[in-house]
Amino acid sequence: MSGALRTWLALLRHRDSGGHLPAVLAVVAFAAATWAVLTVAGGVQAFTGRARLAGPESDAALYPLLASVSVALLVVPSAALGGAAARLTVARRDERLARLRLVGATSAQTGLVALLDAGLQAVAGAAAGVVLNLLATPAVALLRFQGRAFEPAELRLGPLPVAAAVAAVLVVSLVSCAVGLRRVSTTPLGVAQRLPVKTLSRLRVLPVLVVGLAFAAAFRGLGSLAAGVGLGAAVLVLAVLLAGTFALYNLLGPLLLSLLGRVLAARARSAATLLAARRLVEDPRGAWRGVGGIALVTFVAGCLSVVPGMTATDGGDVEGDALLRDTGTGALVTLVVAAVLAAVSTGVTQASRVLDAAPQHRALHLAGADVRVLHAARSRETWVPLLVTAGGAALTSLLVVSPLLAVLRSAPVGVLLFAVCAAGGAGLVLLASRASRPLLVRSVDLQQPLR
Amino acid sequence: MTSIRPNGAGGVPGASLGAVDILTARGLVMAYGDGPGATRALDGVDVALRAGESVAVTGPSGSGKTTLLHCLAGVLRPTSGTVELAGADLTAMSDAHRTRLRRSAVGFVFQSGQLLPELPAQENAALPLMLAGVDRRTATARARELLGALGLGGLELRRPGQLSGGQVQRVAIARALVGSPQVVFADEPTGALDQATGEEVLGTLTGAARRAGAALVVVTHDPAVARWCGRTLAMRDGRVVREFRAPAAPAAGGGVPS
Ligand SMILES: Nc1ncnc2c1ncn2[C@@H]1O[C@H](COP(=O)(O)OP(=O)(O)OP(=O)(O)O)[C@@H](O)[C@H]1O
Ligand SMILES: [Mg+2]
Repeated sequence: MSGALRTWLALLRHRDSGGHLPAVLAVVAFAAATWAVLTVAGGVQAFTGRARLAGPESDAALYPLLASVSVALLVVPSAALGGAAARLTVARRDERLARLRLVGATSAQTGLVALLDAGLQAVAGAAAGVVLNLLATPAVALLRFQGRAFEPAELRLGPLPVAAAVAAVLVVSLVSCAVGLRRVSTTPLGVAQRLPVKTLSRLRVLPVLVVGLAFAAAFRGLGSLAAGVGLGAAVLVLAVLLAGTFALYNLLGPLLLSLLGRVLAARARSAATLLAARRLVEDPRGAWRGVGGIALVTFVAGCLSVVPGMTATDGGDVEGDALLRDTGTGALVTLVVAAVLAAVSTGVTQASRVLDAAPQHRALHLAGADVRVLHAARSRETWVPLLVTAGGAALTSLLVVSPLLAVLRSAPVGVLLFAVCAAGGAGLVLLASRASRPLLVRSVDLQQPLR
Repeated sequence: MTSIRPNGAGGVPGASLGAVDILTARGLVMAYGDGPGATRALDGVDVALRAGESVAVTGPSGSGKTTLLHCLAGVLRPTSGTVELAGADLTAMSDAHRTRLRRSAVGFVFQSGQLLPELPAQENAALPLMLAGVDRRTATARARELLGALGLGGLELRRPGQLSGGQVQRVAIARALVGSPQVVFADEPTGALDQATGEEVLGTLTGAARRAGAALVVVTHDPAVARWCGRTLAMRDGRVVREFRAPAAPAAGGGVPS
């Protein structure tokens, strides 16, 4: 135990092959995840406070529920981001862990070293996230809901919720790290051996059908449900169903991407496309982490693009108008947060892949592959799934709102707004994928002979 | 250890230029770092390699074998000295130019870890051709043909993780040869294999290189490897201290009279 601790301290003092970038990326990832969780939690708290003041009969009672829908939308990408960051830690430690095993460290000791690593970065990142949240609160407070901006005090969380959020980030990182360690079984002889990836089961489609049916049934009964148990309960049912749909969507997404990868691999003509396609097939979950959040929120935002039109045409119910408009604002905020999470997630995932594939990239470069081709493969690996999933989501949402085409036409600004946001989010993701270019350049640096 | 010949310009017979020399290096010096703490990994090495010839480079750890290989292949730029590959001076070229030359004229085999784990064997082997702009169908056909000739028929769609260590090295050999290079460089290609498999792979490598008409430079710790090659250079402290031809050398290009 103390041996592992001393080893970890010794390793900590030495920079590893990837330089500082991986550690910085991991800390940024944990910080972004913490910031996102704290921000949406602050929103829920503020709306709950307002609802308590306004009484149960007012529309204000709906806001906490709507806010929890956005929490449901963001919790999974936040957790996924924490997981990706922890895997990055494991990826760059692989080789050193194997060497430790070679000199007699038990696998428990090496595991402990990796966990300490991930834990330290998670704590540092979470602390940065808390600070970020404090700094950003005045800006977030400028958002107007229910006709007025927030008091920063409304959004500020007490010490207990903050501690809970930090603890959650830590737990997620440690669990993902442990899972990552299991996948990379570091045998004493030879470097880390990667266990074969499990293929995705097509059975993933089944739960989707079940929830789809439940959704349809609930939607039909929504009117009577609202009359029977009140609008609040009906929205709650919807929120639960939405969260369920989201979870399912995360089940289906990787399957879709692995199919896309197979199709691409079969038709690829250039080396770059072939490499990108094979990587999609190899790790569809990793690719999905980068694009899934953007795709989902693009869909939701697309569905809400009719909101400005509805508030403009429908003159009578003032409070109802405000509710609609605020739902639109909320969706926009959710979209922005999701885009940030997705971008960081992509950056982190790509960085761990570059580190994982460093020897192979080097061998390819030695054999005459231009670094440009390697860059091209990596960017294709990001933008192809992004285009297919987010573009597909945008089209689907337009189909959903197509019955309200007249409303859209009366106020096309809604479509424009969400299109700009979705494109901005996608751009952010692509930018993040470029962030790991220096890592690739460094890993093929031929002045360091391959050994 | 027999006579250790002092090394220097013209000290090694291999330095004599012949009409069929594919690779010539003169006065190679490679210093890592500078100032008093610098390591002279190469300290005046001359090598001449004839088309189709096979040469083993042996020597203790740290004697400069890998450094020599990388200088000869245009991976590292030597501190001083010249390397001429297929008539072009590598030391005077831009990085981009050297990369292109490596793509067309050189193949590499390493100890391990050069195949991409997510690609099936045939795609791994076809990759250099595709990178050079050959269309996929032609590249794949050529790769399958080579894999078949190396005894991997039927395993073309397996990924590296689904192959044995020896089979993986055969795929690496196919990849090194797929672009019809003039020289194949191998750095301890059997270092991660057991004795018997290593011998087998080495036989495959030398045979395949000979059939393809490629010259071969094999770096190895193992003196037994030398008998697979026409000529052996023994290194120590950055110099070639001994050079000999295998007594039962396979008919691989002309050696150099000593
Ligand atoms: N990138 C580098 N920076 C500094 N010194 C280096 C570097 N690469 C090699 N050296 C030094 O140069 C010398 C020759 O190294 P080289 O790798 O060529 O040896 P080698 O004969 O291949 O050894 P081995 O059999 O162990 O692979 C060694 O003293 C080594 O420490
Ligand atoms: Mg070496």
